[in-house]
Amino acid sequence: MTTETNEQSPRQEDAALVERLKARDKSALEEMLRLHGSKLYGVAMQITRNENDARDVMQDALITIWNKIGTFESRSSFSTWLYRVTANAALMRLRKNKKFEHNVPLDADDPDSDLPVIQLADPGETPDAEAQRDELGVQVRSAIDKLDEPYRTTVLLADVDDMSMEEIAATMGVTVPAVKSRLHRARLALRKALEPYLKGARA
Amino acid sequence: MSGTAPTFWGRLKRLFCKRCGCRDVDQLLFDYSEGQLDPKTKQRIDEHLKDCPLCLKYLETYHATIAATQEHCCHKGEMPPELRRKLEEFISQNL
Repeated sequence: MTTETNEQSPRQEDAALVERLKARDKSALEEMLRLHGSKLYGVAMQITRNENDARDVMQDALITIWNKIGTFESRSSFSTWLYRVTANAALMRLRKNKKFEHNVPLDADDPDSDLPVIQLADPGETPDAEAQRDELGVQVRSAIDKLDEPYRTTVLLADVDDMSMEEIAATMGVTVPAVKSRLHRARLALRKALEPYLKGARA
Repeated sequence: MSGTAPTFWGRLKRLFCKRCGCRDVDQLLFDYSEGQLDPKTKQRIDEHLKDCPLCLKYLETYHATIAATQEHCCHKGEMPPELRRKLEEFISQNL
């Protein structure tokens, strides 16, 4: 005798969602918001840094998801596709607001030569490990906020949203080598700025 | 090599010591960290790291930076309920 349950794995839930969306079932969009909405909102907030823009991005992303679901071919996971659509909508919003420029030199041989410069507050004394960790969090967010585009978005998509180089290249409309170069330079700039706060913070 | 503090002598060494391996770490740090080096090159870097505490420190802080970004920069908050309601309205009225 077997026991049947109605519980589905996230992958099965996503597969069912895709089928319903392709069948033009609007309630599947609401279900998608329930399952992935907070993560997508996080992506939108990280890139736009503005609640109003993030709201508009979510709306734009919903329109794209609804209109383009027919092109989704399950080669990547559904959640990855959703993150890509949302990141793309956020980048479009930045461009529209003229906060995003593709004018960064990529051909420097010395990785330290013209890194984006990030100025952070003096680290000072930190009383204990927990305070040190909190302080690191504040400084990390501050350093990322101070990174110029497109470094900031690149490092967020790669190291926070865990998108592949290929996905970032497709989302940002640049080559994979350009993504690698930007990501490396962004990490080096962050490392330089955060080094005083990384004591004992080895990964 | 650039360790805890990229000193004048450290930078001078990087400029002139073409065979010391520090330049390899500089140039291949990204591919090394992403696991994209061929086994022979990776082994060369590994050997150098055993003998060069400054490069090792540099690599550690590079990795610590990535880990700190992942840990502290993730937007972990829930979507505001009011936004969820508005988006649901948008779905039913506009799509």
